Amino acid sequence: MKKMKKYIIASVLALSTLFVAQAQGSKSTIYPTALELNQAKATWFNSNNAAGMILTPLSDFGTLSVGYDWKVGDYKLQQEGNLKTLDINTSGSRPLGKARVWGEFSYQNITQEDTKFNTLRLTLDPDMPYILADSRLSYFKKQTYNMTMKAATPVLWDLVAFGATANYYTKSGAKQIDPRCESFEYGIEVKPSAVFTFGDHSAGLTFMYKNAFDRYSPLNSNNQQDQPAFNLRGVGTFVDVVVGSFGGLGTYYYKTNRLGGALQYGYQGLNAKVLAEGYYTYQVIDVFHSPSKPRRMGSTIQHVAGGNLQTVLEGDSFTNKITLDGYMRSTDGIEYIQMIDATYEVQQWVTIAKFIRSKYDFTGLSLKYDLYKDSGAGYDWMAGIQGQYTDRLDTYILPESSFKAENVYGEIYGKKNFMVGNNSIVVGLSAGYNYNIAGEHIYNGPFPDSEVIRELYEKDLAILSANYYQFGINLKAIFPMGEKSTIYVAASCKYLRSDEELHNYSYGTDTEGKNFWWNLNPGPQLTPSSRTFANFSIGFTF
Amino acid sequence: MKKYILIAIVLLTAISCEQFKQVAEIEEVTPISANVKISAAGISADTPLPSSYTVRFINYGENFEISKTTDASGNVSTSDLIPGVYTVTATGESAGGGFTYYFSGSLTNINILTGGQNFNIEVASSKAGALILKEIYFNGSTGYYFKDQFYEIYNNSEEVQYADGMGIGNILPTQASTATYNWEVPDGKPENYIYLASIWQVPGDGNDFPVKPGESIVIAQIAQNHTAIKPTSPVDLSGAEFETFIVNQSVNPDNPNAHNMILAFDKGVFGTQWLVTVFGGAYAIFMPDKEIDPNGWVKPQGKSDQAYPIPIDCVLDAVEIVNNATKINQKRMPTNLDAGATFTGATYNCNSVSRKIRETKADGRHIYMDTNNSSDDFQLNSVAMVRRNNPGVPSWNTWYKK
Repeated sequence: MKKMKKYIIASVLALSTLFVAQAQGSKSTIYPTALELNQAKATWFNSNNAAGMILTPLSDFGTLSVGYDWKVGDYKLQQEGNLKTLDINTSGSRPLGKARVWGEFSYQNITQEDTKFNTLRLTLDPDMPYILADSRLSYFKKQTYNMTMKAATPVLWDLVAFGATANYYTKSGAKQIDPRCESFEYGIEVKPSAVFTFGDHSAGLTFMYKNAFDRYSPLNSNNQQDQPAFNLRGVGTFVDVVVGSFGGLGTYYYKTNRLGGALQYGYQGLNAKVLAEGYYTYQVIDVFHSPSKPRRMGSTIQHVAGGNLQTVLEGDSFTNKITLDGYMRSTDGIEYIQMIDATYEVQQWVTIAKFIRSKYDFTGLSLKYDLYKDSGAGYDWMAGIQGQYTDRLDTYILPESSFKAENVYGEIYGKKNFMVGNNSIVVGLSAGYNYNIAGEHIYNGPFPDSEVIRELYEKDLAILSANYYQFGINLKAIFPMGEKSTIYVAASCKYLRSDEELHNYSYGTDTEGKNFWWNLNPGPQLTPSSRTFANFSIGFTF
Repeated sequence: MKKYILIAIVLLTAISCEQFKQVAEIEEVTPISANVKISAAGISADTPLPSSYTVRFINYGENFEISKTTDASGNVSTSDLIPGVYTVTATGESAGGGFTYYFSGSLTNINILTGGQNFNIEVASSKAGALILKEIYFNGSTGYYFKDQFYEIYNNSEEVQYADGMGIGNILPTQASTATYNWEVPDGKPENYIYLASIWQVPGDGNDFPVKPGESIVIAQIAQNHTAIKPTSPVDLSGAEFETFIVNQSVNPDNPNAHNMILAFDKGVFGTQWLVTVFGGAYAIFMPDKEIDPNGWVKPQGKSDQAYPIPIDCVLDAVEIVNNATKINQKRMPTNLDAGATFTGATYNCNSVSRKIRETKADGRHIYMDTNNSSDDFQLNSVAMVRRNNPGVPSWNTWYKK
């Protein structure tokens, strides 16, 4: 870990040096609003194809910011908690010879309070059913380091450019209340790519590979008191387990491999840019327990298929951008039937059968339109509207259970850039509304009255099936420093409140008293809940 | 450098492919069927058979259980099983000649992975257990105090029982774990025995220690008033009938009233007291069919542990105690002695396990559950108690103060 931190620090210093060096060559002030607009126009940069970055390059810039985030309030998933995050971020883009490079590094120090039903994971994933959970109110301390770089060669032979995206992250953290856990997550992703140009037209392809490894060691500080916990298996099913000093649980580890590919088509005319992309990834995560005598806890197979279309239309004084995204994710949860092979020389868990036991499907569609009134400092004002549709359906096959949440969300937003001399003050407002189309949890597994059902799934369903509205305001004051650098101070706040049409629940048993059903019906409201998002940051552009 | 990058790419791709290959072509789970036939061939013709048996398909790994009742021929089928590893138990009950007879049999850790499999369960009968382990306090009290362990044994029958010569001990492995012991016994039939780490025997010549119906005897690790020695301890064992006193040591005092048990086999006794793990042992009481030979131990294959084999036929009662719920499928006791397991889930918190009351007779005498399944028969008590539910005290115990 110490060695890795050295590399991270060295990388940050190298990146800073890079930006300082490139800062010598440009004379215009780099306003954050200009960077925002620049990134919106850089259609290839927003795709999975780094090679295409040479076709729609970002401008030369460097940024460094330090911020503090709050996400607090009762409108939260049980595992989510309230978050307080110190965030340090630096990024930059510049030419390197005839090639083009972009890099970003971020560090986060996170305190996650009032979280339940997650004993292990630093990164929550609704498509990973196999986790250890406990019902005690607890909190996590986390640190994350994330580095991403993109590089693109110049167009060679007037035909093709090559590029690559690489991302490396490492996360460490610990749950602070028994049953507690020491958690580590590491991952690396590479995306080599190529783009072929034919006049105004271009086509690209990308290969994607990701490898990740997560390790979690549950333990108790008070070794006289074992702590009950649940090995979750999806949609409310679980097995009772105990975290204890002796005879309890050992280390959990998750191994991830992902392969994928993407195809792109781009058009770049005088005033118009279009980029269409389709992509597919295939990912397998294996979850094991106790490395010295490994036992499979489960696996997930995930297929993701998606596409997006970016259209940028640039007029004399206006820039229009339309973005359409579609996304489908299908995950199978595999459980293994294992027995100990008692043969003296062997003595290990042996898989005797494996089945797909659960499925997790998610569909997302979004359409976004942004309009920018151009100015020398990026934009004079901008306005946008977006709509989003999401549909989550989790199914446990036997005993049959399901969890569904289907929502549509709409938002309008805008910003005005007030110039005072060379100084800039950007004021933004946003308003959004979420309408729940459907929400239901039907459970037929064992222990229907357990805390997992009552305290986790029931309450999460209330959140995921709520109608809510939210309003936001953001301010950014930007002050030029020297010929091109700026310093800025930014603050934002967003308030979300569920409205009066939350649902209630009813449940019962069938005539034999065995199958338990529980579902969602429209009815009197639960207590409305709210959530506040706030951020304060200070940063530099150079 | 390029060579290393190329090797890394090839290796990573190979690892991915192996992982992908392992999850290829896995099918969705579907419910499957199974058929069970109960056989009572080994039961004496004098014993009245039950009209039907209750058959339970228990998948401990999934908290899944289906219970069915056989027809008069002892056949039952189910079509609602999730493929998995099951313990299938069959229990029945009949009455005749003034006695209650219990019938039980089981199949343990059987793979039911495909539909239509047939299973036979051979049941054995027993009269309602006479001497039974009624309460076991093993996990100690706050402050890492473990000298207050005790075992209460109760006469659950209608007849006077004699404790003389009765043995008590815990079997190996000491704790429930995935470690397995492949015992090597002279007759080559390891499944016919349990393997005790230590054996303590009640002294007496055969009729010195009668226990009447509804009476209990207490075997203390140390027969002292522990509430005075360690205020966190919940029990006064000064009135115990027996104690497992270690001779030739002076750390723990000898209670002159309590009879000292005889340490007949001592491979599992260390130090100054008989300490059985506070995480939960697997205990048995038995009447040996021959004198215990201190050198009659056997060993498991590849291990140095030594244990004394006691034929299963000699066992009066057995109880499996595991650390917690996660350990039930790592039980040690043969399922024909105990098809389940009980636990407290914690240590040094004064918890105990005791049998549930099955019925109470007109004279106030309790009959405790004894279906040879500790998961069903036992309850968890937040505080251990000597002679819970007011059993009788043998008349020869003149030092017990009520």
